Amino acid sequence: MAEEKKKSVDVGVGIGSAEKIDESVERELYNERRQIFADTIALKPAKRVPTMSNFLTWKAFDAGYKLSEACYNWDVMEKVMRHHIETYQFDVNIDNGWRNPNGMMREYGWERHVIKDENESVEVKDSALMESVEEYDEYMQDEDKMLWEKFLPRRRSSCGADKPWTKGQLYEGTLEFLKYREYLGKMNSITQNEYQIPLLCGPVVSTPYENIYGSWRGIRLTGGDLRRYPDKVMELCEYQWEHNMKPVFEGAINGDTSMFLFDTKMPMLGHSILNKKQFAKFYWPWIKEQIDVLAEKHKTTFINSEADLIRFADFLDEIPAGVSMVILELDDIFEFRKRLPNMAVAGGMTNQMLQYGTVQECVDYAKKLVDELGPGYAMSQNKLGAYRNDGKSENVKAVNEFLKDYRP
Amino acid sequence: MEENKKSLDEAWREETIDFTYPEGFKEAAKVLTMFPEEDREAMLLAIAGSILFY
Repeated sequence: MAEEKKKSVDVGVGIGSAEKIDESVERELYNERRQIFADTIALKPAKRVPTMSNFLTWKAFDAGYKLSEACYNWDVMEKVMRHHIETYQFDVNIDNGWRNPNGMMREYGWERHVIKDENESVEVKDSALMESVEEYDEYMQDEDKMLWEKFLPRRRSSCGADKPWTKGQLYEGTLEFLKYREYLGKMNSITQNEYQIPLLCGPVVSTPYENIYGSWRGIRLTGGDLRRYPDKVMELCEYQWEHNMKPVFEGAINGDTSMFLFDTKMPMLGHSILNKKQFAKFYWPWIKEQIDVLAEKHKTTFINSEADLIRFADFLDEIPAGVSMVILELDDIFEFRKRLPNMAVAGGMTNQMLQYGTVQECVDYAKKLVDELGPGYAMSQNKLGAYRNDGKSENVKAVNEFLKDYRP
Repeated sequence: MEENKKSLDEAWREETIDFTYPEGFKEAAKVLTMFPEEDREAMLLAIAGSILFY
């Protein structure tokens, strides 16, 4: 069943459902954008510094909508995206409006990401999907059974779904699922063909430990498992890599990812609770395996690092130049660049600066970032822009306009 | 008569989904008539795995 699932279904929503580019369209700007990213990843001087939008729900406020208006209606989300693209003209967008498909989840009967218009936020209802370490074995024996009998009912319950799931909800939710996929394809086509913006990256392939940390056991239980059951954690990591993640990675490496700036995306968050010894054992081997193949095949990965990463610089030293770009959240980007000149970096423009600085202060800081970080730097925001106060429109616009013409 | 037929046709919507595997799962997959019959179980697995995170 698992093999059948992988063959017939692509639910790599958001980034995996790319539309082919329309070859009849004039592609000068599209090609320029691809080239400046290629040069930047290769740590070579680019024609100009590429810009990358790290804005999420900020885009809805900025376009004049409430969160509930944008997250339950794909037509509104398309208007939000068009407004963002036309106003700021970033060279690439990390999010194309796909992160909060609340309309779909409302039809399925529960919402994990709860929209709060009153305080303009999204509340995430989280819980461990695996309740005990014994369930590691259950998962490895039959992951489809585990998904259906335990993970799904637990998720519903943790999201407050207190009535039985009905066939009508499954049917209506799946109709919305198809609308979601339709939006993704349409938006990917619009960005590439109407606005000449390339797509960011191919399939998401992280490390198996990230699944344990982020999805199955959560922060607290994962920490306990690492101390008390390290062998079990390792066994599950190895299983997950071989059975689920490696096939996706190999699919990306051997398939056509030419429409993306990066062949894969590697989110990193779970490293935040690891010490160096744990990182060496439970995290690094799977990054190293991917990096070695990417380098050999002349492919690239976009690393989305939350928390700080420089603690693991001794490992990251091994990443060959020209394979990766990392967007940093909490690290000092200047220190990171100096310590790890082998990796292209993105980020650095703080949301505080964009919100509370003047236009001139923002432009001056953008200049400092470009001048000091040099080739191998793409301008982006250091945190995902989720709130209204994550940046003033005039500041975001001024920085991007400055960078269009600035040649360091 | 027409209304009675319609309500009978729609009665399945209120039926409860059974979280047993594989019996309940296979029964639930039959709901996904928007997909070819041979794809329904694979689609349900993929959808169930996906919607855990939204």
